[in-house]
Amino acid sequence: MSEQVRETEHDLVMRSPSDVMRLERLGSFHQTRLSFMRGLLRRVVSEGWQFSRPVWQVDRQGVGVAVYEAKGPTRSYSLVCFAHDLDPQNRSDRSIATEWDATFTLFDGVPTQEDLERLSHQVPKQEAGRVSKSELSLSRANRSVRLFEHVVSRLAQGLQPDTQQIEDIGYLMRTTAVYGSGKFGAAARDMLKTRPETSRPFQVEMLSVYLTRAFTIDIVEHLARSRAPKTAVPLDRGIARRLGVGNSTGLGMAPFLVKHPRLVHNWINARETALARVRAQQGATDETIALFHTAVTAASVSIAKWRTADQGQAGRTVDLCKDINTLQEHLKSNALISDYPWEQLFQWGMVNLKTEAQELLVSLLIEPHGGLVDDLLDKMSADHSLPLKIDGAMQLSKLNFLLQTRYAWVERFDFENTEARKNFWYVSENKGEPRLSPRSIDPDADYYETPLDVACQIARLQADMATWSDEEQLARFLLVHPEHRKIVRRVQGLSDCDYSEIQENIVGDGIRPIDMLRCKLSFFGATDFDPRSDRWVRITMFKNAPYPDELSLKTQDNWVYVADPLNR
Amino acid sequence: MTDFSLKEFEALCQRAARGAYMPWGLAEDAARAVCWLERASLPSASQFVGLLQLNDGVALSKLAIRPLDGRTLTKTEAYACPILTGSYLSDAYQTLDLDSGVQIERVAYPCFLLPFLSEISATSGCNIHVSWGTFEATVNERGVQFSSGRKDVVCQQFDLIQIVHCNANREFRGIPVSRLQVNAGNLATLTDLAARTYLPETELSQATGAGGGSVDDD
Repeated sequence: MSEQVRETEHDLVMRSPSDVMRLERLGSFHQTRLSFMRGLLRRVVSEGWQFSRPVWQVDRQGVGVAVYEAKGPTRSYSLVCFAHDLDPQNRSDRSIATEWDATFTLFDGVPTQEDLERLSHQVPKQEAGRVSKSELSLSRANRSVRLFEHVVSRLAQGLQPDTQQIEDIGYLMRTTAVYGSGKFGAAARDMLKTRPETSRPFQVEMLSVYLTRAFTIDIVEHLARSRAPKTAVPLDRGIARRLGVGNSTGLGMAPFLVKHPRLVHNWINARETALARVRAQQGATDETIALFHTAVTAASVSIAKWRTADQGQAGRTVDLCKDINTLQEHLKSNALISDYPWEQLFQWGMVNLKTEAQELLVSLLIEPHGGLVDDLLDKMSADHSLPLKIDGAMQLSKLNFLLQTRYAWVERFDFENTEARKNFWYVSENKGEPRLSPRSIDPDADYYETPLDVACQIARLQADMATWSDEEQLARFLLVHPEHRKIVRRVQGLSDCDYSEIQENIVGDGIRPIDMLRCKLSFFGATDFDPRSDRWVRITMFKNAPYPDELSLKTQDNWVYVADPLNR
Repeated sequence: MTDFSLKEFEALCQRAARGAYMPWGLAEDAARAVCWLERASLPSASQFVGLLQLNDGVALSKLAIRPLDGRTLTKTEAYACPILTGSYLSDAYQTLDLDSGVQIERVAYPCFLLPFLSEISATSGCNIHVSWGTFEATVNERGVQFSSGRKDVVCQQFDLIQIVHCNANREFRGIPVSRLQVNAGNLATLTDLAARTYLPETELSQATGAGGGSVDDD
C-alpha cells in the first residue's frame, strides 16, 4: 500500500509525555532521519549546491587561512578557517581554554581580502573577540592527539593510517564549541529564519561542522605533503569517510534544553509524530521492509564499533548490541507480515528491549519512511521560546488547574528535603562556563543560580498561591510576587506543548546532565557517544557522510550507519 | 561603540537586570522593554543604565505601585520601578478603566512604560495616549508616535503619568532595527552588573565544571 501523510494528526497514537520526557529515555535517543545533519545534506543534494575551496594559504607548519565556499541556489556561505600553531600544553577542550588548533567562522556570502584581514584579528580570540553581522557562527577545534599525528606521519611515508586507530577514534579534530545566533556580535537568528536553507534549527552550525570536516582532511594531507613532498599520498577516500568531526560537549547544552522549551517540544513532537505515523500504517511495502532490514544491519555493525572508556556507557552499548541481535532474531520470524506490522514491532520492542534499544528501534522504524515523515523537519523550528505576555486576568484557580494537570509530575519531589535542592546551575566568571555544583560551595548560591530548576519553581509557586484566594487574579498576585513571573510565563506559554518539559528535578541528588546532552546531540545527528563523566560527552558528527566533492543525486540518504564501512 | 545584534543586547540587559537584583522573570521583561525602545529609536541603553543604578539592590516591595482602583495607581516614598509597574499594567489591563483614563503616580524612568502599553494595545486593539509633563505620545502594537518632541521622553522620574485609550489613526512607522551601537560607558556598566551574576572562580567550582579533573587533551 502507498503511504499517505494524514491530513489530520488527531487520530495518531502518540507516546505519553510522562514516558518520553524522562531523562533515562531522553538520554537514550539516537539520531533519526529527521536529524539536522541529515536534513542539511538532503537539501544540499536536492538543490545541487556547489562546493569549492577558493583560499588555501597555509604554510609548511600548518599555519594560515583557508576558505570553503558552499554555493546554494540563491546564496553562498563560506567557512573561514584559521589554522594555528598551538603549544600542546595549552590544548584543552574545556570552554575555559583560550587557544585552539583551529578557529572558524561561517561567513554570510564570500569574504573579501579585507574581511579575511578583519576576521584574522577576531576569530582566533573566540569569545574574547567580536565578529559582525556578516558572520553566522564562531567555532574552534583541537586536533586529536591520538590520531592526527599518526595520520600525518603515515601519509608522509606514503602509507595509509592504521584502520584500527581510525575506527577507535573516528575523527582528526574535535570542535569544542560552535556558537551561532547572535553571540559575540554575529548575526541573530531573526535574519536567518526567513531563508529556506537556514530556517530549520541549527543549519548554520551543521554547515559549519560539515565544512570543518573537509578542512580536517585537507590539513593532514597538506602537512604530510609539506613534510615529505616526494613520498606523501592522499588519504584513502574510504578511510576518510570513516572520519567525522569529533565534538566535546559539556554542560552548556543542558541549560539550552530548559531555556527553549517550545523548541524542545517541536523537536520531540516531530519525532513522536513521525513514530506515530509509522505505527499507524496498516501494511508495509517490500521497499520499506528492505530499507528497514538494511538500516537494522547497518546500525548493528556501526554501533558494535562504538568505543568508550565510560563503564556505564560501555555496559549500555553491550546491552544495546545484544538487544539488536534479539531484534534481528525476532525479524527472522516474519515479524512484518501482519496488519499494522510497525505497530506490532514497536509493541514487541517495548516489552523485549531495554530503553536504549527501544529508542534505537524508534529511529529504525522511522528510517524507511521518508515520504511519510520528512515534512516534519519543517515543523521543528520555533520563533520564540515562549509567548511574552502573561495573562494577568487568569484567576489563581485556573492557574492551579493548569499546574495540577500539566505539572503533576512535580509531586514526585519533596523540596522540604535539602537533598532535592542539593545542586545548583550557574555560570562561572571564568569565561562564562556553565556549571553544576553542590549548593554548599557558595553561601549565595541562590542568587547565582541560573533558573533551570523548573520543578522547584513550580513547588514554590504553589506554596505561595496556597495563601491567596482562588478567586484572586494573577495580576495582583504577581505584583506582590514578581519572583514568580518567570515560571508563570512558562506555565501559561507551554499549555499547548506536551513535550516541552523534562519531567525531572534537575538540581536533585544523582542528576545526570549527560542525558540532556545526549538528547540534544541526537537531534543534531550525532553518533559514537563516548561519555567522559556524568556531565561531559564526546561524540562524532558527519561520520560516514559523503564529502562535498562526493555529493550527487545518487548520494545514499542513510549514510549514518553503514554495514561495510571501509569497502563501500 | 560596540555593535550588537538586538538579541545579544537583550541577553546582556537581562543579566544586568538580574545583577541589579531583579528576579529573573522581571529581568526578562526589562530586557524586552529595552529592545522595544531601541526599535523605536529611543535612547534605551543610557536610560536602562540609569534605572538599574537607581534601584540597584532596593527591595522590590519598596518599588511597587499600589492599585487603588481601576483609575489610580499610587506610590509613596521611592519612585516606582517602571518595569514592575509596566508589567502590572500589562497583566491587569482588563481591570483598568482605560476608556476614562488611568493616573499613575510617581514612576522612575517612565519611558519604560511605553513597551508595556504597546503590549496592551496589541491585545486590546486600541491605541493608547500617554503623557507626563511636556511629553505626549500615542502607542500601539507597531510602535510610538510622538505629539511632543521625542527628547522629552528622557526623564528620570515623574509624579503623574496619564494613560487613556484614544482613536487616533496615526501613521506608525515601524523601523526594522536588528542591530544597535552601545557606547563604551553604558556597555561597561551593563557588563559589570551582568558580571555580578557569575560565580567567582574557585578550585572547587572549576573541578565541578564539565571536563573538570579529567584528561581532555587526547
